[in-house]
Amino acid sequence: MNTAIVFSISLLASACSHYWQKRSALHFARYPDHSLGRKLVCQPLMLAIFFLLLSAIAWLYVLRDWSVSVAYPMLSLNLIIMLLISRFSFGEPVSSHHWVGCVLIGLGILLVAVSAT
Amino acid sequence: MNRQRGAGSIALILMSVCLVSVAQLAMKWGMSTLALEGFHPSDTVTWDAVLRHGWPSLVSVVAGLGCYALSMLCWGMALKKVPLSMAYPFLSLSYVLVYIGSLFLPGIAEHFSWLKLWGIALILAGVAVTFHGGLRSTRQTAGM
Repeated sequence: MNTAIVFSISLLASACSHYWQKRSALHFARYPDHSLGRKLVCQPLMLAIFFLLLSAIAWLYVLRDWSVSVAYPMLSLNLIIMLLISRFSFGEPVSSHHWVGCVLIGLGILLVAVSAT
Repeated sequence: MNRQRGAGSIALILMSVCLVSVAQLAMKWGMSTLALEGFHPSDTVTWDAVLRHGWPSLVSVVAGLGCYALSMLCWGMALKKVPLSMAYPFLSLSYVLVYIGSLFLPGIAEHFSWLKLWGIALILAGVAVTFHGGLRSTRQTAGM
């Protein structure tokens, strides 16, 4: 399978994991009286762990092909994705300096990717 | 946040950054040196060969994953006391650590490149700008 596709899977799975981690935190806040055992097997946490494992396995595949000094910085795409999720999924305010930061990160990632060609 | 608790949290963050950098380098070295070409899962002879000669690579990958898990633990503990806006810029330091480390990976050393360095510098700048200023709004986006 094309490494860029597997990289995208790893990235998206990581974003999904962060999303479900946040949903888990919200779940725990809503049901503080649940026992630890009940909390550990709740759906949001299970999903967070599943996506984390998927991301890790896909990442190992990527590492067989790509330089780590190129692939790893490109993971900061995650930051941009998470900012979008915060804004459009959780409705949190995102100010202009966040977007400026994203542009800089995007440019940086572009340079790193180009340096690999 | 008093001084001692602050210092402990920063130590946890730095520990997390070092652990994740080591994790990435270890996983990279392990996965790159694992000879899996022409490998068939049903072929027991190849399994034997992989385990006998490839065990350092396997150990490296497993150790890397372990370090990664530990780094997430340290990160989670640190985030209880420190806002993400303060912690995240430290994480971007790991890009620099991994870059430097990658130049010394035995057998698969990666190459120095000014373009790559500038790219990483831009990413660091982007992270600094994203998390600087408006700590309140960043704390709200933080639940990452």
